[in-house]
Amino acid sequence: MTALVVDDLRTEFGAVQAVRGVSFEVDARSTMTLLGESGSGKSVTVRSIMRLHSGSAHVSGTVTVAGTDVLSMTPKELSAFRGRRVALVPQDPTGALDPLRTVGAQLVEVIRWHGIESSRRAARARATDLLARVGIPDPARAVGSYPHELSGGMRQRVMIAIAVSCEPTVLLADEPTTALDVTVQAQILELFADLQREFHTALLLITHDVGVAAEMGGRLGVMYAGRLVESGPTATVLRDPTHPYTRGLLDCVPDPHVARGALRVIIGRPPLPGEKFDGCPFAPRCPHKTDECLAAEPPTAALPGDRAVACIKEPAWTR
Amino acid sequence: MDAVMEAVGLRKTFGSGVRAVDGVSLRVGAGQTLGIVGESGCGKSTTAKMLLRLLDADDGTVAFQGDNITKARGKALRALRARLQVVPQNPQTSLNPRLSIGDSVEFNMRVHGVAKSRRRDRMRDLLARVGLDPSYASRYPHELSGGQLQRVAIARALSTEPSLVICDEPVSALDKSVQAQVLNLLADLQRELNVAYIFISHDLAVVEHLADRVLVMYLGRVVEEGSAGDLWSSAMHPYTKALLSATPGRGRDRIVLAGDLPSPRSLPAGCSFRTRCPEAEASCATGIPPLVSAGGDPTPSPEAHRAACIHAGSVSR
Repeated sequence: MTALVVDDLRTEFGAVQAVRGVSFEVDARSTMTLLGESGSGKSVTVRSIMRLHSGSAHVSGTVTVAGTDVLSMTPKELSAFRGRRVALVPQDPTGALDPLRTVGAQLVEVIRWHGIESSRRAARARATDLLARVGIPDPARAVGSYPHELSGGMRQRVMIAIAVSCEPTVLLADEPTTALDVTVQAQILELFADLQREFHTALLLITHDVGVAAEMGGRLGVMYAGRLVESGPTATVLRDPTHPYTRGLLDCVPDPHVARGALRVIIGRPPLPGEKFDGCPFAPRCPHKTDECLAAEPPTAALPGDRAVACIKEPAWTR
Repeated sequence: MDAVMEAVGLRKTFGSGVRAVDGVSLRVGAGQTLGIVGESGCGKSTTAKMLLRLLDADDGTVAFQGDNITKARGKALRALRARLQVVPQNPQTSLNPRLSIGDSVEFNMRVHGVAKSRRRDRMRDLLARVGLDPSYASRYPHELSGGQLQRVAIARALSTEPSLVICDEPVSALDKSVQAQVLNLLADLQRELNVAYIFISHDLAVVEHLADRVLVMYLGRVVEEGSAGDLWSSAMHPYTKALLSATPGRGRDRIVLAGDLPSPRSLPAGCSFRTRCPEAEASCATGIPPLVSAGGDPTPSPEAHRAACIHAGSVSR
């Protein structure tokens, strides 16, 4: 069964259209990665799925989790839904944990709130077990630790333990390894894969790092200016990108085999939120643009191999 | 090749016994780039601060263009800083929000005694060189993107015609598509101006691309050094191998290190990497391994490929 369906999601903050018609599906146990730079709308997409925006945001389209519509939920339904059906692993675990309470207390709170265990004792046993499962050494002691007593990598493991504590249908991870060192990043990415196998959770991962996307496999969606400009199986998209932006992102990864000063670059900068464009938003930076690109924003076209791209020149420009 | 900067045996211990830097030696030649790579807490930024004389070393010496600057003070230190500039990580906080871009660049020249009549022309020339239209001179930092601000920080650093610029994570805060632009700019400016860089980063891919020579640091010590090619093709230290494999998307077999960085307050006896090392043996606990060159050459050249691992000397190339 499809765990998460997002269809024509649009999120606006006043005149600023942060997400402009994003659609994708994630099956149980599988992974979808949203790849994009700052301001591309990837984090807003995740926050919209969890309904975390304040009243100033206008969210339209459809979001369903295990068949249940999310955008029409009442506040009461939402509080039973968040953390139970959908859980979030944030970028910065230090800011997300309460510094004045032990990690055990913060786990127990979630477990009891959602009625997974009702007794304090049983909830604490489950908390200890979860800390062990996310690879924290000496979990019986860690359960009584305060966040400042743990390293950044260990704090992120605690956040992951909290996120999977109620065995959610969908796990959302917003740049979960960006604040961590690369050797710790490798451990955390491996942990996600293990937990997916164990809990059958669907994972929606957000990253700005092409390398992280490549590691996670599954499906990939490349976001630019609030839209998915390219999507498909991660391995094929990265091997044979069809959108000029995806190709540009792959080309500008630093490589010791490229002569110094000769890295291929994407000219200009990513658009600011709310910036207006004529036609394709990537056109000002695109090496293949023509007048046609400035006339209208390209629609998303399906390609063979379960892929899609929003570029009018595709697939001609690659040949 | 003349060294622009040479440091020998730098040490720094902070208050409660945190050994941040423990015997780091390095050398960077004129017009060359030395890369320093390592994860948080490895001492790379503390090393940079000692080289810049923003922190006093507990032990060791820093020589800059042949002069021992370890104890330089007052006027001598100020004169030195015109030739030794820095590009910090975060351009949003390193530029004064109340100075226009042009004034920020000119201010650096004023501090270092560049004649007033020359400052304006030179500022405009530098903005053009870093790829910014001269009309940006009158704009303020909040009007610029992160990539543009980092170009301004580079222009400011180059305004006093330095021989060496220490770049501390200069592209880490930038989007990937913009990061490549700034890396190309740094390389182009080095060719034009023959300036040397010490380039500090946690990102091995960035350092390998830009640097002639690379130091890999772990818990305050250099664990491996060599040319970018040496490290890429024949890394000797297990930590370097793990770093290479942990850089995602390189298609290498991943070496996942067990556990976390030990506390710098209580380092393990012997090799400080042995608690996470997949190749550790009992003998790794007996002493801190010195840097030895590939093949065990007893008198290696300064350009030799060296690693601080008991297995390193026996590795044939």
